[in-house]
Amino acid sequence: MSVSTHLRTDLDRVFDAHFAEIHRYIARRLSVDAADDLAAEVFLVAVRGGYDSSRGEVRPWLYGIATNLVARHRRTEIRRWKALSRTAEREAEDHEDATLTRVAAGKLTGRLAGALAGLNRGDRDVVLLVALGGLTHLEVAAALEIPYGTVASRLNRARKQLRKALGDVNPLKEAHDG
Amino acid sequence: MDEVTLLAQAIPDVPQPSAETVARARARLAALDDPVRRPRPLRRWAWTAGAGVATIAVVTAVIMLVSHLGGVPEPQPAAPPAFQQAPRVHQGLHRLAGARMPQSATKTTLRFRPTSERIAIVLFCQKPGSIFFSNEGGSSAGGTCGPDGAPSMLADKAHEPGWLGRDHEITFWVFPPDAPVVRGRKACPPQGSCDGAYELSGPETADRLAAELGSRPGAWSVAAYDVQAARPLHDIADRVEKLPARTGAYWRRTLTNGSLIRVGAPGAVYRLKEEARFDWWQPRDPTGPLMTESRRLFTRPATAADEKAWRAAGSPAEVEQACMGGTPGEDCARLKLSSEPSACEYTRGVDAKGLLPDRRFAGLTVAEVERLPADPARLRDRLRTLYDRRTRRSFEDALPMAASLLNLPLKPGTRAALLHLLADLPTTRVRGQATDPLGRPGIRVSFWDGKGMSYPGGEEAPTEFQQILDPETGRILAEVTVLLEAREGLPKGTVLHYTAHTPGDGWTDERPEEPADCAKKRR
Repeated sequence: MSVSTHLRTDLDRVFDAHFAEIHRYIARRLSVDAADDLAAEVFLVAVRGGYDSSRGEVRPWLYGIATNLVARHRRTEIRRWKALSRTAEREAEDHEDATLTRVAAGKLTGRLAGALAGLNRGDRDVVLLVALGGLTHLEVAAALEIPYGTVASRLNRARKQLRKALGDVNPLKEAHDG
Repeated sequence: MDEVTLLAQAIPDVPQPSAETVARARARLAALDDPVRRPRPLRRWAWTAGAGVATIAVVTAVIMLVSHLGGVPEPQPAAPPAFQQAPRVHQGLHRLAGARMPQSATKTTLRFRPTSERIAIVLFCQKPGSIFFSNEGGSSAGGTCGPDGAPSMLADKAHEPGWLGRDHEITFWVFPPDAPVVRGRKACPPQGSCDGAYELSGPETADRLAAELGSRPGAWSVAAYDVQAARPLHDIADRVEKLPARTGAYWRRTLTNGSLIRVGAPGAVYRLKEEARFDWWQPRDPTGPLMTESRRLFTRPATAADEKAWRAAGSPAEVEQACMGGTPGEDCARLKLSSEPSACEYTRGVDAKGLLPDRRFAGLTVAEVERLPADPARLRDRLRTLYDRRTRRSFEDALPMAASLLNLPLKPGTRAALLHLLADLPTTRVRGQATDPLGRPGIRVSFWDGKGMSYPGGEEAPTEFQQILDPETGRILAEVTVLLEAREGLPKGTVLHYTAHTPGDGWTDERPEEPADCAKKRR
């Protein structure tokens, strides 16, 4: 097997393994349309930048690239969170068979989306890499190329804001309303 | 449930990328005829993390090997040597997953999900001084192994954030002691061989070395060991299975909910306890009326000390909840104190869907619940088709939530199967004997990662969501949120919130009567 075939296979493997999740991550932050384009871009950037396994795991690295690409669409993203914060709560209450659980869930979505819009970029990137990408603190540090301690402090700050926004909506209570 | 988990569930999900999108992306990638830089292997003779975090110190805790020098002879028939079959129990830990290989210069992959920080990965190699290498993603480790088991550096990984609570898939290679392997941190050219020796730095090099050697004599085994959590649940399941099946015209669910509520002004904070009762009458015949009834039982100072504080504040009949800073005013409720039952409401009417309460895992009818299989594996398959996909989790992530089905009228066989299934989940934690908020003895279990934050003292405090099971019937006596650390005068273990199933729960031939002292609410 020639060297280039070997590497090409490797790249194909990385693409197959991670394209769908990178697409989903971007689509949930921006939109499906944006993700169709940007997810492909992530892999192009990865190849151009030289995929080098000495950087550590591939997955956090891809998420890091995706996060940087999303940052170019910061205003779109903030508009999205604001819109979601307005509609989620209303839809939940308007729904015909609005169960308590559904209303509570809609309220949660609305408030959390509102809080996301208010976070600064660094904090939002960290909390969404954890929430949407399922990255560990270590992986977030690798993805954003920031120190581990910074990940922890950004995440703490973001959590605090989210908790504030949740206020007294206790998600555990839904269990008791049947 | 913490904020980040909630966030993940709250952000709307999207469909998979279309085949066209994937094809277009692949084409763009293929069009790029760029020589990719050769992957450079990792150069560590220990577990390494990504480059961005290489500065983090890894604390090495070597697992002490216990050698059986003399002592009492084993009463059991001779077990096969560990390198042929990793023992079921090693240093007090139980085998989670294991694999065995009859020859050396071979590889195998172990899949497991650690349940505690005591996790140990142990290699048993027939030939002392055999060389092992292991890899998961970008992390590699290597060393030597012998018949007694190699110390496991993986134990340290358990202290890294995010290492526990997820599935791991680690590949292991074992080579004979005389295999041409470079030891230490000597840098080798990227081709992976230096002076004919191999630097084990990545799976590719290990595979090449294995290919060059072919299989060699020397059996080995590898296993992941961890604390065995769930024996008591299997025991409950065995008892439950023998119980008689019951049925009736109505299935009745009677809950008592209790909460501690922080009230008062800064510096003069005290707590109220509120208790409410919730009744649910589900007809077996879906054309019969469903009735629900809720009433507040009382709202009053929680303890004698709280009562003193309340009197000092002038015995107010109505108080404002002490809310977190930043909570919108309208959400910061005012509470009326009352020692009498009040605020009663009920609903009554035919419910076309006939779904039972507690739909955290799935909304199910009585008929669906009765059709659930009584075998753990078949039950698992059925649950896969039933779980509520709106939670946007994978089935594996949603499965622990199936513990909420214990609240439903399961047949004894199904309940036993569900308990066996739950007992084997890596997320299940048995916390030991307990007394529920109504004073009944039970077994305390945490089925899903119910760690969260609460703010009983205005500052956050770690809490855990737990179920207390009846050891005889396998039903949930109560679900509780307990404080894991003392806060503002509340000791560790304080129950901040509970939902208790009151005696009287279950199948009955009684029928619900419309309560006279209660306001009817439209369903």
